Amino acid sequence: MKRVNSFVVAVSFLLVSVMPVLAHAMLDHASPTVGSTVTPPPKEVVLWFTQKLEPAFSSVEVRNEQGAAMNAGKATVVGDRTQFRVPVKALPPGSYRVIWRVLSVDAHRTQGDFIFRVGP
Amino acid sequence: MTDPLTLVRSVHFAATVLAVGTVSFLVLVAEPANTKVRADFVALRHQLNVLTWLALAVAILSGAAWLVLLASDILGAPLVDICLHGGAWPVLFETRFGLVWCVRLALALLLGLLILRPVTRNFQLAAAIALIASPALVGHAGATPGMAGNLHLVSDMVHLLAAGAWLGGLPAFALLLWRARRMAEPACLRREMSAYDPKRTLAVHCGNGFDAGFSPYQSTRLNRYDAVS
Repeated sequence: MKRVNSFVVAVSFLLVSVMPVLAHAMLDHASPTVGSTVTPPPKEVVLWFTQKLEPAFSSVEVRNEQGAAMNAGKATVVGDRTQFRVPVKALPPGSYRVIWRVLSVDAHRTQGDFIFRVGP
Repeated sequence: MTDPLTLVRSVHFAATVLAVGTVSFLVLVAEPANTKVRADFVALRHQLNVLTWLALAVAILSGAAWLVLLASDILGAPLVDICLHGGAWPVLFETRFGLVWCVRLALALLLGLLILRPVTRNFQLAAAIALIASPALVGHAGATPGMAGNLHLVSDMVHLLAAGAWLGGLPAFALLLWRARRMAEPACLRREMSAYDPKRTLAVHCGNGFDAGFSPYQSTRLNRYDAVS
């Protein structure tokens, strides 16, 4: 019993050793990369987040400089529920804003936006 | 001023810990030690069952409040709208939180029925374990991807189990001690009550960390002796 107790305590300390845990879903990286200029224009915009998402309460919009929506279909959560993909229309050269609003599995809402450019 | 959602969650966790701890104490400690004191044990079991039912009722009500408050937060809608226009349904049916909420409600109701029949003690324990550990699935650990998330999830579940079995069992233990001291104690009763030596049990409780939920009950069950300290 003493050996089992020691084992359980040791495993417990291992499990609770310092691990970085982010309480909210933040944007980890994106394609096109945040602030980048890309050529040719992408067919879809993909966002990777730090936490798993709830698809029903998450959205991504791509808007051009005039504010017109450039989404070509529904955004979908894929992979291990941390990727958010949205197909986009043919993007002429110019600046585009990606606006994201997500709900993580632990029910925290986060939102943000970034810009990428399509080169000539 | 305390955020209502935080307050409701605190009440819910406290009530769940109490219900699970009481069931665990009854199944793992009190029932096995019940040999020669059946008359009084029946009364004790009834009192512990009532305590469990009250705790489950508070857990269910606070759980419902948690759902409504969370739906209001997620949808950005006033509470009145959520309550009057079924605003909680999308959260209930389209999120992991909602799925886990439904399962936990079923577990709470099931546990409330199972404790009426002592022969179902294994099922009672299983329902209690699932009830106390499942909130981890919709916490930070449940939202974290990869191996780090899996380890965190296991850690959270162990933590909840330990808290439920240890902290939650203390009121039941206190009730048992109170009943034992009030009774006239024939020799056989002294032997049975000595299995719950408070100093030994408290020392084990204080001396263990994560496994405090399990080892005290095991050692009190196995270490009976004649003298009452």
